[in-house]
Amino acid sequence: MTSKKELQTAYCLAAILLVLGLLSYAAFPAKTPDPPVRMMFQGVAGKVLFDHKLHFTGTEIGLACTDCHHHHEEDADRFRACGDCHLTADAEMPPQACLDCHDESEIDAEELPKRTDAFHQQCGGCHEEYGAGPGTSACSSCHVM
Amino acid sequence: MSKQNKYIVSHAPFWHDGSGIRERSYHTILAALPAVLMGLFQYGVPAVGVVSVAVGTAILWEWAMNKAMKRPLTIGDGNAALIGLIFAMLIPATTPWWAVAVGTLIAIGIGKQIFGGIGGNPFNPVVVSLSILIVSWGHLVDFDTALVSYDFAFNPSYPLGVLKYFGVAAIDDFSYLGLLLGQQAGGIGATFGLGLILGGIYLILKGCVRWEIPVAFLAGVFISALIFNIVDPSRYASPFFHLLTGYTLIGAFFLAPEDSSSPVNPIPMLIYGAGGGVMTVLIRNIGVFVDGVLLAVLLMNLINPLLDKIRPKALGKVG
Amino acid sequence: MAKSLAHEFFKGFWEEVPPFRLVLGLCPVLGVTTKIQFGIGMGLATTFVLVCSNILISMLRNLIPSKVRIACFIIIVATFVTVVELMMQAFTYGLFKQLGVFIPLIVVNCIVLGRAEAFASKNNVIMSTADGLGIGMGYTLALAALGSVRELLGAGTLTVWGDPILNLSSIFPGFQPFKFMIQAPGAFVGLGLLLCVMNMVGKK
Repeated sequence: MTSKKELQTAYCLAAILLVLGLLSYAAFPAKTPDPPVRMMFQGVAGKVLFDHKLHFTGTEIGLACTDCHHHHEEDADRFRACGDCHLTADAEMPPQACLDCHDESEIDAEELPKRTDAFHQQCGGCHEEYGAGPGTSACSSCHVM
Repeated sequence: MSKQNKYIVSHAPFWHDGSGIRERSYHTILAALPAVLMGLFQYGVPAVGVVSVAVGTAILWEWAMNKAMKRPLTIGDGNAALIGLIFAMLIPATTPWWAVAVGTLIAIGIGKQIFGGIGGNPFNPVVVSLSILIVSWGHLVDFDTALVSYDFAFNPSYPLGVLKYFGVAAIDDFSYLGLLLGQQAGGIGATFGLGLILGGIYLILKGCVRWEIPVAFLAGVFISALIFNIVDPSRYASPFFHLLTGYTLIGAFFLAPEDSSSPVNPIPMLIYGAGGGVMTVLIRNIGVFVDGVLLAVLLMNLINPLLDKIRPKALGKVG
Repeated sequence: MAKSLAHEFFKGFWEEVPPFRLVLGLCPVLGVTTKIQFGIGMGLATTFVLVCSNILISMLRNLIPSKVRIACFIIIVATFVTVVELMMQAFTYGLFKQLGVFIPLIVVNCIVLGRAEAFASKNNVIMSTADGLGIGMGYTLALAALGSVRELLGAGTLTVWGDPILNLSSIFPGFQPFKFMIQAPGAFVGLGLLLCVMNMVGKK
């Protein structure tokens, strides 16, 4: 039923698009920009969307990097992501990120807050302090199933 | 039905105007292009990758299925390319290539070829495929998670998600004009409302889509959302918001009127469209899912054969 | 009609493999095959019932009045299902918990009753034993095949009694389980695709 010309068009279209697709995926591999724009934290109580960029560019918020990134305060190139050290409760301690520089005996793993506690303290504490945005009282104001 | 248009048929010989499946497919692809181009512009090279891989693999799978089933090659009719394109329009621009390829495999294989190819599928292949993908890899096709790295000039949250989880008060940020012009997170080709409407009108004028289904679908969404909104405006969003967000417009013009899974008679078409629209709003406002268009279309596909029983009596049939 | 013993035994593996060729006994096929080990466990339990009930029915085939034969078959089958159920509770309690209601439901499994009606009530004991054993083994293999496809795609692993024998995410690091396959609709799609493959192979 299909004429030869139509088939050839389809073959060409498929070939060109596959190559184009391959090139696009190869040229722009999925990577998060530095600093990240937004972050999605996955948790058992639902995911939390955190607008990272808004917190340091937003005119009403305008935080400095060091307000949250409390390690390597002197060197902006070496900020750590929260999750590097604040591991989830079932992860192996001490975190590899700490061991990169520190000796194991220097780290007090008991003192280091777990990820859930650290995030709840950081987000909720700050929001309550400034009376801005959602507080810690309602889970569903941040967590989304 | 006595006032039907009567066509005057002249004597033979007749002349075929050259239209066929191929022309229908390419008209539909053309109609989808404004929305797709807007998506490519908004999401950049990753979106180009997703669209290319989707269309390319769709043609590839069609070819492979034809070969495996020892049937004549049907890739020339453009229907596979169309399925790939519409699939790409619904998914986020950061979907990994393998998920896109599996999605088109499901659409072409399980959605269409298993039933004997074009014209045999009881469900819209794209909707079947995307539903299966959402069940399997929900995080990949979740717009809030997938698009975190895009720095938009507008509110970057998926509007229907905001409505579902944070209520009507939280959607004040979205202006209807912005939503219409594609200033919302969503699928590559599903956000640019104006382009979808223009494409839909083009399809209706070309005769690829009958006006009954999209109009009834949109009317169903509008009226049921309006009733919800009047009953309790503090809990249910306005009908315009429902019209302009999620998959509503692409659903009305490209998903619901798919050839073999939608009815052919006027009254069934109206019921089919309106039912899909009402189900969409019911799922969004009462159900647990964020967007209801996919499930509503699947559900209406399911009752499509029943709807088509409502038809004029055959000429000369007694009793 | 007298066919060889070997034929009666081996027909269960390909020619008349229950879920695929006879398309019987689909309820457990769809319900318990989320993991390969559930498939094997279910298949073995069914095989036991099938063989025992085939033997007994074949022995009693001249005593059972034909008007009430179905009721008699059911009683015999139910007896052996109770035996299996109690034995599984005693020895493989974990598996029994996982298979749940599907073990008692072997009573109404079409294959067991079907073989009783179509074969055991018309043939002698040795033939019936071979038939039950063959069909049962074929059923087990079919369940294991569907279970392995679904577990491999849906969870990315193959686990037999706690030992992972294959892990896809260690072969392909980016592998993400295709969860659709371990859900109910995935069972239908998987069964359909396996049937399709069998028919394609069988045609040649």
